[in-house]
Formats: sequence, C-alpha cells, structure tokens
Amino acid sequence: MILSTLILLSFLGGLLVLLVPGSNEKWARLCALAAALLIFALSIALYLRFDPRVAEMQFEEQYRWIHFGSIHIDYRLGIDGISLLLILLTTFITPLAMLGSWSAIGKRVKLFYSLLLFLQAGVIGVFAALDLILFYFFWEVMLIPMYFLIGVWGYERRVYAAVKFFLYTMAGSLLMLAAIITLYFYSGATTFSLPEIIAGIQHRTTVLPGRVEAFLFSCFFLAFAIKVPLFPFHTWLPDAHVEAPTAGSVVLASILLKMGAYGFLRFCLPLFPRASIKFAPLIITLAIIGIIYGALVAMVQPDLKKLIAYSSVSHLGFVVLGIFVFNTEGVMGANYQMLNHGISTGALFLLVGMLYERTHTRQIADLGGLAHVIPAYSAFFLVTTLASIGLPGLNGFVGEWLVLLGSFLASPQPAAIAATGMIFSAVYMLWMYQRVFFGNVREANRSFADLKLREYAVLVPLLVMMIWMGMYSASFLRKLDVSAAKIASDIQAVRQEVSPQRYRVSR
Amino acid sequence: MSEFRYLLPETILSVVGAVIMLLCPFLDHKNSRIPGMLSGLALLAAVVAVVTGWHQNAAAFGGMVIIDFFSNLARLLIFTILFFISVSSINFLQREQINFGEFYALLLFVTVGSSLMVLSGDLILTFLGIEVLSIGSYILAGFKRDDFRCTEASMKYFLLGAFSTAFLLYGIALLYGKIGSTRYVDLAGNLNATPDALTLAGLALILVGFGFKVAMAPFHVWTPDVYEGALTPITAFLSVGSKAAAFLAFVRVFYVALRDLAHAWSYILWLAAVLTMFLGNITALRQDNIKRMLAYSSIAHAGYILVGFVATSHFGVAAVLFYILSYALMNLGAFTVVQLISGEGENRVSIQDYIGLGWRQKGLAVALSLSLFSLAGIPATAGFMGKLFLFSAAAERGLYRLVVLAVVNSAIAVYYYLRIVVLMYMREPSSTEVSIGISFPEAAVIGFSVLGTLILGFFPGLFMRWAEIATTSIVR
Repeated sequence: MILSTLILLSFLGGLLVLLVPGSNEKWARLCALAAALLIFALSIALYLRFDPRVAEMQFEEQYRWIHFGSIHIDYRLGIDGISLLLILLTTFITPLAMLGSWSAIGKRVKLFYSLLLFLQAGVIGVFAALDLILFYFFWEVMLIPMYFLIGVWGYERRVYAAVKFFLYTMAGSLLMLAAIITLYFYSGATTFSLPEIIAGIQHRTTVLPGRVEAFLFSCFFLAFAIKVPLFPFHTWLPDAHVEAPTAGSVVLASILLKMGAYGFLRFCLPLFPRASIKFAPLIITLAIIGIIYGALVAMVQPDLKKLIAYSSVSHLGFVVLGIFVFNTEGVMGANYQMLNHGISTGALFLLVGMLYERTHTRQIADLGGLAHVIPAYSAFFLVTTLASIGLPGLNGFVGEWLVLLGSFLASPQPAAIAATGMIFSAVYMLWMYQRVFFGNVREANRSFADLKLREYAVLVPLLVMMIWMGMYSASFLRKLDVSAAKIASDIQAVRQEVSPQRYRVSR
Repeated sequence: MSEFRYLLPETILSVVGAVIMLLCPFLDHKNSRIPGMLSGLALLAAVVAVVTGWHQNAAAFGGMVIIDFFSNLARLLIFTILFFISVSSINFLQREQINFGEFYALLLFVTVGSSLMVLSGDLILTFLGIEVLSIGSYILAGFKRDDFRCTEASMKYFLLGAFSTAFLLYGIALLYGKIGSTRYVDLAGNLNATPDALTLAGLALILVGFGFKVAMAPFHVWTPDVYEGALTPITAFLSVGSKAAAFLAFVRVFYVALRDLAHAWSYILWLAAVLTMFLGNITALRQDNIKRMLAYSSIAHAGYILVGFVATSHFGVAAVLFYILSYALMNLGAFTVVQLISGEGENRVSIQDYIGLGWRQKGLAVALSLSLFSLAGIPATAGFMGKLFLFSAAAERGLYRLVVLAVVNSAIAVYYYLRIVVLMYMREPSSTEVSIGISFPEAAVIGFSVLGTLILGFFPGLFMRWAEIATTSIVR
C-alpha cells in the first residue's frame, strides 16, 4: 500500500493546496512544502524497508482495473532497486524545488505548487507502474502539469517551449501506445502486466518475429530517447530548460529526464532483448555523439541555463552508454549517474535561479568576479561544478567511472572516446566558473546579498548528498546491485544464445 | 395495439412536440420559457420510460421495430444528450431573442427520428428515421432566419443532405431488388459474401447515405460550414446527437443487415477511416474559428470511430459504443462552454477570444481544457480510454497498420487542441473584461459532462459492461 499512498498523498496534497482559501499565498506554500516533506519522510521508510537481496519486485500491489473480453489491465505497482532510488530522488528534489522558488513565483502561487505535487504523483506512478497501460497512463498524465509549469510561469518564449515540449513527448509516446497495443495482441499475452509479458518472452512462450520486434523496439525507444533526450532528439530540451521557471527546470532535469533512461531499463531491454542487442551499436554511437556534441555546444553557450541544458545532453549520453553496454557495471553506473545528474544538475539550476533573482540576467557576459561579492554562494557553486565534472570524492565520479568501466569491459574504443567527454565537461564548467566568479566585478553587481537562510536550507541537503554519494556510495549501490545485475544477466543470456561465438565473458 | 408500449418514449416525445406547436400562439413574453421546460420534461419522461422497459426484448410491428438492449442503451444515450441540449438552449435562445417554441418542438421531433433509426429492423424505417432527423435538422440549422451565416448553413445542409438521402434510398431499392425484402432479418444471411454488381452498388449507395450523416470523408464537406453557421446548441446537436444516432444506426445496419458483406465494407471503411482522420486533423490545424475547429475535430473523431468499425469484431462494436458516449460527453462540455463564451449574437467565436480566459473564467476554462484534453486523448479522460479500446479492437484483428496511422493522427490532433489551452492560460488577458452569465442548467450540463469524462477516464468498465451486453444483443 505504501506506493499507492505516496501517489495518493501527492495528488491529495495538490488538491489541498488548491483549496487553501483566498489568496493566502504563504499558507499555500507552507501546505505544499509540508505535503512534500511528509511524502519524502514516507519514501525514506520505503528505502529502509526495501530488501536489497531480492531481485523480484517489492511492495507489490495489484487490483483489477479494466477487465473485459480480451483486455486485462491491472492496477499493478511494485519497485526494484532502480525504481526505489528514482522515487527517492523524486521525493527529495520536489521539496527543494518548492523551497527554491519560494520568492521567485509571485503570481498564481497556489496553482504552481499544486501542479508540482500533481507532477510528483505522476512521476512516482511512472517509476512504480508494472502494467503497460498504467505506465502509459502516468507517463502521459504528468505531461500536463509540466506543460503548464513551463507555459504559465516561464520566461519570454515560454509558449513556444511548452508546446514544443508537449508535442515532442506526445509524438513519441503515442507511438509507444501503438507499440504497447501491438505487443499485447501480437504476442497473444493475456494481461498487460509487465512481469508476465517479460516472463513469456524469457521462457520463449512469446516469440516475436525479428522485424516485428525491431519495429516495437523502435517505437518504445523513440518515446524514451526523446525524453532522455538522446542526440538527435534533444532539441526540445534547451528551449524547455531555458524558458521554464527554476522549479520547472529543476524537476525537468532532475526527474523527468530520468524517466526516459528508466524506460530503457524497465521496458526496452527486458521486452525486446534481441532488438536491443541488434541496435546497441547504433545507440552507443548516438550516445557518444551526444556526450561530445553536448559538451562542445555547452562550451559556447552565452546563457547559463542553456549551458547547463546542453551539459545535461552530455551527461545523459553517459547514462545511455552505460545501459546499452549490457553489463552490471554499466547498468549500475548508468543508474548512479542518473541520481548524480539529478542532484548536481538540480543544484545547478537552483543556483542559477538564485543568481537570477539577484541579477535578473543569466548571461555569462554580464557577470564576473562574483566570488568577491557573494562568497558563500560561490563556494556552493564551486562544489556543485566539481561534482558535475566528476571530481573524485564527489558523487559524479562514481557514476561516470562505473559507466566507463562497464563500457571498457564491453569494448574499449567507444569507451575511450566517451572518456574525452569528461575532459570536455571540465573545460566548459570550469571556464564558465571562471568567467562568472573570477575577474573584475561589474559596478552593477557589487551590491548583491549573499545566501539567505532559506537558500542555505535548499543547498545544504544537496551538498550533503553530493559528498555522501561520493564518499560512501555503498549505501545506494547496495540497493541497486541485485536489480542491475538481473537486468544485465537477462540480456547477456539472450546475447549468448544469439551469437555464442562472438560472446566473450567480460569478467 | 399493445405493441405501442415499446414505443412509449417516442409517443411521449411526439405528443409533447405537437402540444408545444399548438401552444406557441398562446404564449407571450412572460411565459416564453414554458416550451423549453416542457421539452426538458418530455425528454426526462422518455428517459424514465426507457429505463422502466430496460430489459425488454421484442421484435414489434412485424419486425419493423426491434427492442433489445442495444436499442434501449442507444435511446437512453440519445434522450440524455437531447435533454442536455434542450435545457442548455433555454437561456441561449433568450439571449439571441429567438425564443420560439417551435425550436423545442423540432428538437423533440428530431429526437424521435434519431430514436427510430436506432431501433429500426427494416431499412424503410431506418430511412424514415433519417428523414425525420434530417428535415428537422435543416430547419434547426437555419433557425435564426435573419442571420445570413445561419441561412447559408441551412441551405447547404439541405441541398447536400437531400442528395445523400436520395443515395441512401436508391441503395435500399437496389438491395430490395436483389433480395425482395428490406427487413434486416431477411437481408442477413441471404447476401452473397462475394457480392455481384447490384449488391455492391446498393452497399456503396447506402454507405454514401450514412457517410454523409456521420461526416465521413469524402462526404464531410458540409460539416465545417454548417457547424460554423448554425446556432451553437444546434451545432452541438449535429456533432453529438445526430452523429451518435447515425453511428448507432450504422452499427445495426452494417453489423446485422449487411453482415454478409463485411469483407467488402470493411475494406472500403478502412480507406474511409484513414482519409477521414487525416483530412479532419490536418485541416483543423489551421482553423481560427472555434466552431469550425470543432467541426474538423468531429470529422477526425468520426475517423477514429470508423477504426473500430473496421475491426468487425465484438470488441470493435463495444469500443465504438464506448467511444460514442465519450465523444458525446467531451463535445457537449466543449460546445456548452463555446456557447457561453460566444456572447450575444455569437460574435465571440474566434480562438483569439479565448486569450486569458483561464484567469477570468476559471470554471469554464477548466471545463473546456478537460474536454479538449479528452478530445486529444490524454489519459485520465474518457477520450483516452475510448481510443485505447478502438485501437485495441483494430489491433486484435491484426490491423496494425491502421493502428499506427490512427496514432499518428492522434499526435497531429494534439496541436490544435493544445492551441486553445495555450491561449486560455499562457497569454496575458486583454484589458476588456466581458461578463458571462452562466445559468444553472448550463453549469449543470458542463459539470455533468466533465465529471462523466473524468469518471469514464478512470473507470471505463462502468460503461463498457453495458456496451458489451448491447453488442451481444445484436452481434451473435
């Protein structure tokens, strides 16, 4: 029941915020924050009660939802280590995003905070759903709050960005719907429940012809690749990030992008193992192009938010790379990298939001020398920058290292190219840091106040997580280990079967 | 005589319609609301009459009239839709100063026509039902005589409609020439699965007749002009009530009477479905008049429903029934909001008039957004479940290509529905504040439709159970 409770609480919290009487904005904010914190507390209980030794889904719930004729759709939830940590990330980031936009959002406050909670409900649903239709349900529903967050509270070109975001995602996901329906009827499945369909595929009771499998894989892949976003489907991302309000950018970068990578792991690999193996070289190539391209484009961005947006393209390239090398190290690294990216990029967007509240500009050229003016802020920014680059001791290093290890084990050449991405990321992040925080201070920028108590409250938890995840990654990797190994070993088994002569045991 | 009890609802409606006609000359300004109230009550009584005979099963009048679960469900649906349209018209007609009782009398007559279509067991009665429905609709479409858009709409509808019914009648005549009967029971089982030219011609002509009524491409060209010109409640009726009735009759004629020809007509309808979806959706992209936009959207939705038709399966029919209900709910919601926003003289029907509505008329904007999201097929709404069932029905029969084409269309459609939402919430409101008076009946209709859309979006099983029984009662 705990998963349903999480979803329901988020939803009811959103309704409650809407019902706060009159224009009492302070109460609306407090209400929303209280709801988010309560949900976070509950998800910690989830973390503590999760048994890391079990490969099967845990906390399962199943109810009949739509049953008639040949259609069997269930309300079925359950999580493994991968979804557990992503849910935890979601409930961790949402209250921080709320706190981070405490003073930035001045109009339609109630609606803003209730949309954040609705969004959280949808996202938790996506990470917990174990029925294909239920998954699609949550996947689409959460588009609407995000669309409004960008379109109503965004900056100048918000409408363009919101519509682009919606249409891109929708186009991909509708194809996925067609694929879900086709898969169901083509495979002769008797239920839309994911574990049953996967079992059918693993035990060879369901056999998809190669071309059909390739088609279905492509539909799912496209939906997820747009969300990740994988090069060349990334063009909506910079627009959406730049135009969204701070909380929107944070939630988008930290949480929503992870849904795409999660989709690869949960759906593409187990449902279509043969097609995944067949297309892996192509996808790895795209991921590597994304890593390098994102980094190169980030280097020349004059706008801070755009720079971070392109750095996301680069970082998410690592995630996809880790997934499609099909070994435990890669999958674990990809997962860890998702969490890292969620924490450090979320922190970067929050920091840029705080800066914007003071300077009203995001242009790097208008800044400079801020380290003298707001030293505490600069310190936080520095740590986050280093975490994002992947400095050992901070969280980013663990994920990238695991991904690179995994891909070296699979094949060294792509890994070598991908590794240069880490160098590039150091270049654009440090160069940005230098231009913003060192050098001469502009006259107009001298009078900024340093961090307020509320801003400390936002940044300190993130900083703690960066160090914790960098220093003692075991507390999270432990929960991931079995789940990641299962995904990797399942697909390795298929690979061995498809081409035994080409298969080399990698460890 | 006892057979008339099966037609009790139709009798009530006809009698009250005639009474309203007779009453009209004696009414003055003070009691001008009486016809509207009367028609509402009559429709309510008809609903009650249907519900009391809910499990009746009979072939009355020598097989002319078939009363089964399908008939009752279809009648319930039609009467409820018409009830909503009739009560939400009362204030509208007063606002437009055309509050004549004849409006309601005609509304009741077209209801009777619709209902005869769906319970008919004979092509002749089907034709009569369509004629009663059509002739009433022609007059209603041009009800505001001094408005040239309205008159144009009526004229176009009449000219094209007259042709289409002539086609239908010709088709019926050809089938009669082949079989020697127009009864569904005689036709079913006696037509050759590989039809000769005569049967094919009859089938094609009947298809034209129905295609016109449901706005199936390429017989859809009347729709945008008529929807734009007609009074909004009538547009709502044409797009919801008339279309629902036509589709329900379509189901019975094609799945019962012409079931032997399923191979032939499913092939034609495959093409028609694809054409209808693409034409509707692509043209809707560029419409700036909201009624016109909804007209093209309704064409596109006819295409989606045809996808379920093509499946020629039990599930397909149930999915079609479900979609008809969902479509009715979401369009009633949308049109009632449009009717309120349009203002006196219906001058505010451009999509630009919706700028900033989300912050000025919160309730209306939320209702319209939800209806539009449902039309776009976003989950948590009836529209999504409806599409899921239609597409699943097609996939179950291996029509994967059709499913992909339908899905591509759904993706195109998102853009133009979203455009309205963008205008309502994401552009700053203009300075001119226009007050909109919402009366209780209109609010109730909107509330009911939106609530229904959401409930069916979460629990489609509630209606799907009935749709299945209704399907079983006609398709064996």
